[in-house]
Amino acid sequence: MNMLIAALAFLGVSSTAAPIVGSTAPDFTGTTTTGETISLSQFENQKVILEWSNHGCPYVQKHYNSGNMQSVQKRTTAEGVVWITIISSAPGEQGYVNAAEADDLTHSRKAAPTYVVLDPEGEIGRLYAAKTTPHMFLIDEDQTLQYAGAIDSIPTANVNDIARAENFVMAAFRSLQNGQAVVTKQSQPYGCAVKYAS
Amino acid sequence: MKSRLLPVFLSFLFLFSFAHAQIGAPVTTGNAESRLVAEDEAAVPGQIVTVALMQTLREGWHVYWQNPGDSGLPLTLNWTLPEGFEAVAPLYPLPHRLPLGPLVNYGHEGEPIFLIDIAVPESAVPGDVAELAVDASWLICADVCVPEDARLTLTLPIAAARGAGNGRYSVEIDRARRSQPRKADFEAVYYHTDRGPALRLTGAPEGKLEFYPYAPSLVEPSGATVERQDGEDIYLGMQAGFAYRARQPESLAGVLTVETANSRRGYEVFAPKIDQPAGALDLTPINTNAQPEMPGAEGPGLPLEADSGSPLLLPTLLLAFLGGIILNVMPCVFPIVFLKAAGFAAVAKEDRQVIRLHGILYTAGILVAFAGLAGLLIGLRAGGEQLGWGFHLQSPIAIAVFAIVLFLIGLNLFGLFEVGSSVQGVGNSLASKGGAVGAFFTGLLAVAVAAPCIGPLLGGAVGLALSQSALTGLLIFLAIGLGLAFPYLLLSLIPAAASILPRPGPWMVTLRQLFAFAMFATVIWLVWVLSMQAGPSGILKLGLAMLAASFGAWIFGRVQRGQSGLVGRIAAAAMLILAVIPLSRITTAEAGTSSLSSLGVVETAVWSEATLAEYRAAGTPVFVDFTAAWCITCQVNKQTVLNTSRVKQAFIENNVVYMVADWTNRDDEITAALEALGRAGVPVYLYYAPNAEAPIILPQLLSTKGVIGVIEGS
Repeated sequence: MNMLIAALAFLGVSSTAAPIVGSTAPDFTGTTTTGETISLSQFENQKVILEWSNHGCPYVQKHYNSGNMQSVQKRTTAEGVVWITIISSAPGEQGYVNAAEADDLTHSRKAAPTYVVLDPEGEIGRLYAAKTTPHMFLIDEDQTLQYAGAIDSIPTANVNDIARAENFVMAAFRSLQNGQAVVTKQSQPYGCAVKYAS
Repeated sequence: MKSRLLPVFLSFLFLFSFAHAQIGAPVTTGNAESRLVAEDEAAVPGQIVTVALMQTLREGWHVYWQNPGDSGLPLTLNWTLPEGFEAVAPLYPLPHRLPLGPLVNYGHEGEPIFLIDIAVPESAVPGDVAELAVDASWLICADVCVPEDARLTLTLPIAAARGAGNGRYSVEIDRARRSQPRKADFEAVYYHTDRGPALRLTGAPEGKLEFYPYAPSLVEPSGATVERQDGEDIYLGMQAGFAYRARQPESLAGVLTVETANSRRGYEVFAPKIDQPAGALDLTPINTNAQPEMPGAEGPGLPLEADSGSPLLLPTLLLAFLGGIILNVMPCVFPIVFLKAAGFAAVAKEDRQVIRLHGILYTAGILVAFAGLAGLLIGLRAGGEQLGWGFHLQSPIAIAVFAIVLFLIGLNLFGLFEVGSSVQGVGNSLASKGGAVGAFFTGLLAVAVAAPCIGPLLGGAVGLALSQSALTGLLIFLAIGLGLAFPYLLLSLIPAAASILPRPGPWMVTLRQLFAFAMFATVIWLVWVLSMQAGPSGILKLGLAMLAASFGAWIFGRVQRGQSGLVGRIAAAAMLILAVIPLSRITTAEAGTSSLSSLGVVETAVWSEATLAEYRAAGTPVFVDFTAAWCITCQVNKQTVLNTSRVKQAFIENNVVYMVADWTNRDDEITAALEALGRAGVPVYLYYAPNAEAPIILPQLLSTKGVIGVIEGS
């Protein structure tokens, strides 16, 4: 029993050191679909949005089939944001893709991320305690985490709810652009669990 | 003619619809079946009527609690109700922790029941009917997630007063209500630590504790909960979620579950915030290397045998072996004994080598079946499944397959077709290659069909086998198997033994045909079991499969006699494939009140830990019957002992409540309770005398005298 608790404790410590909103976002290095190696730290002085994705998840489909996610990507990247879509599905799990398939998805969905990073080991996912797809993070020019959580305020799979929902990512981004503090800094992310290797 | 029939037909329809008015039609979505049912037969103006959303989830899939944990979504309900009716938020069943990789969700598997109280307005008019409808949507996940939704409806008559009758599902609804979290009867407070909130519980019940906060993101679901005990006080240190870090709540509200070896209860906890108490224990998680003293980390009680230290292996194996021998005279092994006897009669004139080969092959068949079944059971249990011995008979498809196999064996014994390649006379064919295969197959079948009998006789040994390491468990099962095969093995190996068999002759054919009736008797039993598991539609499907299989067997027999050729072979094969189709469509019917669950005049209750605890608290004596339709010994006990007027009289005179735990279909709560008793199968009979601390465990083969003696001895 002691062993079990010890194991649990270890699991807990290793898996949920979630980054804290208002603190420095943890730096990570990842490989993009074009084979490029990028690090968060190289984007100092730019805003960065991290989006966890799994194209098989109905909640990701809600925001892509409606064009909502693409619209947020285009509006923010047009204002200088570096948008990094991260796929943490383990091989064999839903949403796992290779580089070519990921690029096909970007193309066919008319998505506009700056980079798509493949994270099949789940290292970046665990570093950020990414729980669901989608799960969104907004990082400012000083590499401070400004928002973490859901894309919007209505946690359903229904496309019709998008229009009525408050888009937390856009709201946080607008506040920062206007030099104001972010109102909703964190929310409960909703969607499918990230398909980590278990 | 027409004009006279129509009203009769219509009134029949009306009666039918009224009888089922409080049950909504089930709606099947991809991974769940959902229906709306009412607790009462009618709604009464000015009162509350409880409605249940009952779901049957696909095996391995789950839905979410009100706080879904790391991911997932709770149920949403949008009601469309008649004017003035009002529905409150649903009451969820007790949550379970569902780990998925590094994430942890809170949710429900199996057959969750969500309870919704609906207020009926004073203005409702008795005689009317209320149409209740709800747009329900939920997220259901296995490793992937699917959002599902359904519009569920229910037509509820309005009556001036509550009728005497209960709704069709009142038992299930009652059980769901009893397992709702109750008000905590212990003190709970919480204080802030650097890692997150810590609960201090004073006087909480003993067991494995888990805390599920109502609000999401207060506690990290995957973070470790550190449990320490200090006298009466139990501390639970948890890891803060972002909502907690943003603002520490004035009180920490949620459900505390307490799991013991045989029950799981929930308590509603509203823990107000206090300052960190002086002398509070350190609640930081320990490292893997360090193993500090953890007084509060004792697990729930282990099964009985394991408690008193591991018993010596050798005596246990010997006991299992002896049990295996005795198994040969248990009721459900009888058909196999007949089959074996038929086989022996057939080879009686063969030379000793063939006889010996058959004996060894039969033993091998038994051992392979035991190893396979035990390996599967041990493996599944290691994977977290709540299964017990005989679990394969909880599947209606397995029952139907056994019925078909035994039916075909019966036809084979009649001589409709032969096993093996040629028909050169009964004796020869069985002794040929087909006979050897037959011997092995008989061994396999013996175990599969005898499984429910193994529970009663060897309950302790099987329970022990399952609580030990996989290897020890396997050894115990193999010892039982060796015992089961031993009489035949002995008979086939000792030269003198074979000579006691009578000389072969025409009597063998007669005997074989007589044994066919033993097979059909077994088929009747299996059909009866299936009727309880899968309902009338299951019986229909089995009947169709039997028709196709027997037709195929008949054609096959004609082919063997050279009366039809290739076309016949293809037709026979086609018929057998055709038989598989209805078999594969058999599904478990919704649990109904089966004939198992009552002794007529005796006060009867459906078993649950909570109900049992209530009766015991009230000082009422309780007789618990762990039973299953497929357990022949259970039925024998029921008919020859429990259902006799003398026993019933004793129950009534002593106000004993007869409580039935029906294990016919899979039931994890019952499996857990059996395990706590150190048993892995049914029957188990317990008698709780008024205010007694522990139950009296009755023998598995009951006697009228024994039962009455136990009840009146109290």
